[in-house]
Amino acid sequence: MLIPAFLALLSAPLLPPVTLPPLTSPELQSHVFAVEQALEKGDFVKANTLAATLPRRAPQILWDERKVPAAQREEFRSARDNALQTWKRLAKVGGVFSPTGKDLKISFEPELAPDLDLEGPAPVVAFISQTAPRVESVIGLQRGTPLLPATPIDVFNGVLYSLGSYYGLARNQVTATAMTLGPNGTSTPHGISNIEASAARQLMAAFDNLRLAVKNKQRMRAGKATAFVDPAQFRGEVVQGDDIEMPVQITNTGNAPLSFAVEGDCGCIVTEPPGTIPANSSQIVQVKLDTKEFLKVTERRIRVFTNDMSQPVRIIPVMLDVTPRFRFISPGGSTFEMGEKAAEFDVYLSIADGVDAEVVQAGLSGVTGKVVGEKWSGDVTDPDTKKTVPVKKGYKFHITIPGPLPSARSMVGLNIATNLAASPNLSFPLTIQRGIVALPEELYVGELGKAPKVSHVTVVRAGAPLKVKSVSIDAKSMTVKLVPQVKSTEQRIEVIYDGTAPSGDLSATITIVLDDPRQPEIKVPVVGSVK
Amino acid sequence: MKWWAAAVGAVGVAGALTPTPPAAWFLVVAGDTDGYLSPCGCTAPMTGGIRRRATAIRDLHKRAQVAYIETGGLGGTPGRQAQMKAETAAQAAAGLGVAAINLTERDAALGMGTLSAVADLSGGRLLSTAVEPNVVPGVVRYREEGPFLFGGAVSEPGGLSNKLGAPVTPPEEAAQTLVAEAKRRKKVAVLMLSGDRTAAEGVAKAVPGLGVVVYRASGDPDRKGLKVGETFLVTPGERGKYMIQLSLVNGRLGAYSPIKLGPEYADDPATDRIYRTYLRRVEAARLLEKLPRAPSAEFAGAATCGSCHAKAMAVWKKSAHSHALTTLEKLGHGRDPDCVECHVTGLQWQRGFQSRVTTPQFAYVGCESCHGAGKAHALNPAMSPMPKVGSQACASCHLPDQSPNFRFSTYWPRVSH
Repeated sequence: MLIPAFLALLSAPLLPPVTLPPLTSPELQSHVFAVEQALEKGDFVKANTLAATLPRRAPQILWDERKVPAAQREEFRSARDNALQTWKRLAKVGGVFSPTGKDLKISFEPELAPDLDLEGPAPVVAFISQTAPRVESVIGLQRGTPLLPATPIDVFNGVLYSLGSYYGLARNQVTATAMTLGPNGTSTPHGISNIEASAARQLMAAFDNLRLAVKNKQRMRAGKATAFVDPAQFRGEVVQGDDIEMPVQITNTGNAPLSFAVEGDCGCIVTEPPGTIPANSSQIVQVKLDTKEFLKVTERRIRVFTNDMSQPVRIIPVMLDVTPRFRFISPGGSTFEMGEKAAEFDVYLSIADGVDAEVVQAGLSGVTGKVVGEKWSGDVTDPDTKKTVPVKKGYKFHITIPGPLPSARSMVGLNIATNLAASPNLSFPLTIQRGIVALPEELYVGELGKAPKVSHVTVVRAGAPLKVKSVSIDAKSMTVKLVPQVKSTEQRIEVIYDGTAPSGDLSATITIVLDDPRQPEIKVPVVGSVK
Repeated sequence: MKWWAAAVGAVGVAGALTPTPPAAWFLVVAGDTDGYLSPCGCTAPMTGGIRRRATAIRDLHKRAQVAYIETGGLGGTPGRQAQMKAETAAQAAAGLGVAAINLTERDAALGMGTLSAVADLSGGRLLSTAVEPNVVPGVVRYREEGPFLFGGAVSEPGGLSNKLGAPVTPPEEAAQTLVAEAKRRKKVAVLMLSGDRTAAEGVAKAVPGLGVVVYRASGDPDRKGLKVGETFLVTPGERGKYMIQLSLVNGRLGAYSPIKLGPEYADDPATDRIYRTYLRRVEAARLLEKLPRAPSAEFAGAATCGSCHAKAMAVWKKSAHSHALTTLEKLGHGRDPDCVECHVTGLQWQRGFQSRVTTPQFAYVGCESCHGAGKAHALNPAMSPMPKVGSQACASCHLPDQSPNFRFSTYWPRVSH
């Protein structure tokens, strides 16, 4: 009776190996592989024994704080509970602290051995076995270089990592996630990343399936996934605003399903959703990079997470030299000084090769003026580098601002409308300065206290000498005085706070009396606060 | 003995656990803020900001002696708001005891008046080794803090020279000067270079004796430290989202660690006070009203669109787009041009959002934020069809900084219409 049943069992089709999510730890994969092997052989007793120590959603945790100084125990427990709550909230997994906990043990030691990836002692180590306690985690009470005592934040990070290790997650290479170790000696709070939370949830579901197969004595094929990821890096020159396509080919050279998730290190990288690749198959994952916000040398990273136990996280560096799509060049600089008459100057717009753009409108904001634009190519001198810039394709804008403007500094925008949907508006900021001006226009003195503090205002007139007849301020706690003049076109004024103002916002006005009948005085508002 | 005990160092328990006064130093490199004083806060988890940076630095002060430096580039794109940002960043850094702030061409673009104010607010910490003393009042050549001597340079001296109207020495020359001075003072030379990695490598190779060269880079900083010979090359990455920490123990630099300034760091109350003053100044200066606006077609407002597109309207009303400006106002950023652009309809256009009072019909992210001005379409739908828009329309606001978790595939279903 038993033999035919056993033969029937052997001849039944094998279940496929379980699909583990990206970022599953190698140790857990080995454990699962061992269960699968036992099922494949029909050794259900062994499979049952091994499956008994697979991670559960609510493990029994032994918290051994005997080596923690008594004064710190309460705050460490609080950090521990926060970490557990964080896992519960984000991944629907948790745990129960118990003096007889046998699934996970968390203890402390004064100092752990150096971590190969960090310069200094490991902050936490997790040891995984197939016997109880399945995971033993040790948190270092001193860590980093220099060696510093662990803080509650360090303990929070250590417990996050310990729990993640129990659930079956691998160490992560991304900064400040639950499964990241380090930074070294810095008490930085970590958080559970989306991929980590998702992996923990998927692992629990996978273990449920595996336990069910063991319970039902279903035979299963054992398998391991292995990933080959191509390319190793992306390099290139692009024009700003282009969408760059960077296909990543992931090949599963193993004999179990390979699960993957691809993500960029910023929202500018758009990838396809996570997926699974059958054994001996490949998939191309489309990765797009939006370069609108980039300029010059740009470095980004694509991260490929898999359930390949030899390398669960791979980083593909992206190195781009981004040429601006449009570039304004103003040979006269960005600040223009006006006399009594109109100001006239030219601004050039260079359009990168391969960008098919036309200017459809040009105008000024902040001031009344006229802009005449024409298509133009030639050489312009960059005022910053003093180098000649060849404009192969572009426009020349002749700007006329009629005088007289009020004596002041005016922020002016040269606004260009183009026919490109991706860049419909371009704006080049210019400053028009006429007459005598005080800089800064508003004096921010910052936060003041009981100590005296000195600030400065500079009065300037471009191209002509100026003379300040007197200066005064309407605040009891402040005095003003003229600094001996070095340049005839410039006068510095010292603003001295004496430390006596009452707490609260501070507001005053400096009055500068000039010897120019067209501009007899300038008023400069003063703002700040007193602690 | 438990089998894990082999991995545990043999350190005495009681003695090792007693906190001792910190003898070592942390060198903390922050900066390249580029005007990004704070995440708008409208989505999570945004990274960076001067308030979180302050909390992180204060935490480090509790653990060891800290020399904290800022790489410059405080204000961002030149303009009135950039001036306010640079002043605020300098004041916040001074409040944290910053050791040095590098003078870069981006700072110089704010003008000599602002630069002088920034130097005052920094408490005399603004420096440049490449510029002669007194070119900019208040700017010094070196700054010393603990075992470090800090200097600053730019990889392209022409830009800084043009803006200051004074000669600027090449970075190698500035580095040599710094190294000689550090040797004389028996300090570790740290050069802040406004330049990319290639430039930093060039300086480190050309000038032996530098302990650290700080450079600029887009993206996040490297997870592991880079070295050229004995010189560390470090960057805090873009827009102040990370800081870099190095340790100096027994005269040896090491233990490179990037610190991500995520939401786990609470806002530092003292820096928050300074930041709130900045927001009040932005509002008082009415910068929102003074933004340059380009000529545009006439907008209709979402209510007009909804009169025909009822189904789309229903989806929109339930979306975060319909109350986007309110979200921002609750966070205190409702008058900040940096944030408002992505929370209203048509801020950059002459006929778009002006203010909540004068244009309440555009005080949200409406249909026309993605589809473009639609008054002509509303008047004559057949003659003026609205364009179909794709994921590009989302990408103008859902940028890495503002919307770090944005994925078109998961976000689009929430507003699909």
